[in-house]
Amino acid sequence: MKTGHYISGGGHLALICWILFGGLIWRSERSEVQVTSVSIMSEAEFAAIAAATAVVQTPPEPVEEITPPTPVETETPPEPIAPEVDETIPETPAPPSETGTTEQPQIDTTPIPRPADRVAPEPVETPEPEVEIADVPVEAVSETVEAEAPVEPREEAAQEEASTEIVTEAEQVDTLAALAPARSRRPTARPSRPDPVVEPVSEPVAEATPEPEVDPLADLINQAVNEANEPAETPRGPSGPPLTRGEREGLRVAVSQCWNVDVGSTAANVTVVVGMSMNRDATVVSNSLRLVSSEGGSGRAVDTAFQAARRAIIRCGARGYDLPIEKYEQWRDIEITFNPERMRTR
Amino acid sequence: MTFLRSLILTLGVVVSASVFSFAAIAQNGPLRIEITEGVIEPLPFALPTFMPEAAGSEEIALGISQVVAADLQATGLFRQIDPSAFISQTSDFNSPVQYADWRAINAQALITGAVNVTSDGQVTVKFRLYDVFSGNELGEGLRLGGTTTSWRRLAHRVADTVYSRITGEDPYFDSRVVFVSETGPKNDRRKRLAIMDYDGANVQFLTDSNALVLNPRFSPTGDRILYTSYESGFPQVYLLDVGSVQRRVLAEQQGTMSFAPRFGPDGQTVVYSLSSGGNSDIYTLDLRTNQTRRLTSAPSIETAPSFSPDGSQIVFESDRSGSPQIYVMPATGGEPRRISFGEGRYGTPVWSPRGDLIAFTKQNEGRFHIGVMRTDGSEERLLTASFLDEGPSWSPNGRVIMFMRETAGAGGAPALYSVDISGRNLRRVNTPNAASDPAWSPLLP
Repeated sequence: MKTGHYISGGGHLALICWILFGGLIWRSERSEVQVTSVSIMSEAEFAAIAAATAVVQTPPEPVEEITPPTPVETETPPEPIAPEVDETIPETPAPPSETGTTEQPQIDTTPIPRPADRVAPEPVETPEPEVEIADVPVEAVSETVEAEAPVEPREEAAQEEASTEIVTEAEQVDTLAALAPARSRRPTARPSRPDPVVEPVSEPVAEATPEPEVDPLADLINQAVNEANEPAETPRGPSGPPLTRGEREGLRVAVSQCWNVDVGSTAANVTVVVGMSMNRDATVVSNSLRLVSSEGGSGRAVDTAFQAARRAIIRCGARGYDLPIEKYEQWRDIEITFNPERMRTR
Repeated sequence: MTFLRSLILTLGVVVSASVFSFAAIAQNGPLRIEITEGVIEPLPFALPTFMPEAAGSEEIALGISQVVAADLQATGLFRQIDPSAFISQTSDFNSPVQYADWRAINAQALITGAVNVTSDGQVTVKFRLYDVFSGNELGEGLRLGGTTTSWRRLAHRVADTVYSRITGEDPYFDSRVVFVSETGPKNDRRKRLAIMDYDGANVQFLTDSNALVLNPRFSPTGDRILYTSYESGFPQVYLLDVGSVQRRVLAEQQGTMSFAPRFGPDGQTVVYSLSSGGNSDIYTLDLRTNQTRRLTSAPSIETAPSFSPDGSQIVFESDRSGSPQIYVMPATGGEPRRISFGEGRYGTPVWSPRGDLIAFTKQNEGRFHIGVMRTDGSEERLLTASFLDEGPSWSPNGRVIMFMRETAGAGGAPALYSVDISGRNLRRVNTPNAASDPAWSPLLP
């Protein structure tokens, strides 16, 4: 019986010792406070210096102590400059800031949209003039290349130049003007006195009302068991492991590359859901493409939107989509929603 | 015991969480994905030269093929595939299509046709449109007939059908444009009304150059034109019959000037500006009864009125707020509602045939723009920018805007340009002389 008391007493004693002396042994990591040395001058001294400045009327000289920022070779911003405060500082038009950080000119690094005949989710640089234009980039293969398998010689091909958005004539901007700083460097501020340390005031903490005893773990388990015992209301989908996010994304990107949206047409106001059945070789079953549902637009616009979606699925899936055969049950039937809302605003 | 119980409970939670996760990932029904990003690019099409079916048909067959291809490409929505890349060679209009050959060159649409010209000058053109990747014919084949003098119209009709079947939009190629043709130096311009096909072909003059003419506008049926002429020494509205080229003055009132006319959708109502005593207001004129009606009564300048397609509202330009802005009012008059609130000066508003947009001219920071906005003034988009752009006119389907652009300097001259409402496909319209004030006709009957 007493063993328990001894263990409890020893534990409490150790806890009290850790609270009282633990700080001496285990020191918690504290963020370092930047300290800047300043000299304090009286009001009279400042008035005398100001008066002398007014009489001499000398133009402000650059402070030699402040080293200019070193040329930036990378995109990382320059390190903050720690100013050395001197007595002669009042003559300087730009006193150092509180933190010592020098504000740099703001340069808008947003890519400047350029006009291009093609608009795509990913921008494509202007290809070389001698390179053929193709739907997907192709590396050139010459007949002299030695390979284990015979490779048909082909011309190098690149994707057509593409911009990520429509750039009207009114929106075209001067490249140099766009690279100019959005605003100029601002003078830095004088360091201020450190704020007086305020002693923390301990407030009485209201006594917490005791909560009724609950066991969340037990509740979760009970809930899971109950749900497992409930009969399934809807039939389960295909068995087997589901497609990974990357596999789904691959299919989405593949179809989107062939989805040509006419943003000026009334069909651009229509969202269609297209259903299809797939063969095991990941090609679309002939005549399985069907309009499942649509939203917005007239009947004619819906039909145009459906035809554009249908064309995209067939064209980019002509050789079969890149889908894992072992998960065929998961992608045997597919429904794709074509929503052009974001395209309309381009 | 307590430790053991906690361990069991923790393991239970982990296991059940895994079950839940798997259930959440497992799909019910088909695999569903959503696509919100596509591409905007011209659709590649193949158009083998239409086959001549009789001797002497070759030239017109070639001409029709070229006009059809040019019409489609001029939209910016289609790209013609170089015929040298063709694998299949069509030798018979009715021979089956080798879809694989056209897929191999990435043709998404295939247009085949044949032309027959008879000795009495009759032209027959028949064509088919195929959706290559679907392996189906898109719509049924069509046969059109005309004369050798109207073969370009036949070509435009073929292109209209192709355009409409693929885009789902109403067509606009078989239409005309009336404009002011200008010759002579900048300080002594000679201006004549002229009419041409929408693509700049077949220019014909409707007036001589004795009087200054401005602002021609087609009637909804395309058979009459309203315009402003200084024939009497001051501006007056005239009505011209396109077929007979006969004209008569409208809204003639002593001591007044009338200008900026435009037809209402019924073709019998004309809305225009009338200036009296230095003040301009908007009036309507009933062509059947010759009765006029004053719609605005303000000390400011009200001008450039344009009906909505349903005839219920009128959009116009007014400087009642201190600078030219765009206002909308009921077609019978009433309190106008300002809809333009951006920076700069707005003018020459024109309601789209679709009814969803208003095109306008905007002057801001020394530049002129052609732009569009919703009919409530929202979603303003500027489509062009130059030294001087003005006078927008809608294509019959509300998809393209034609306007005048003048270059700067003493040698500067006006020319006609067109731009898609998306802001893409800005291109110059070829005219034999300098040209301004374009007005697009409806589709020809």
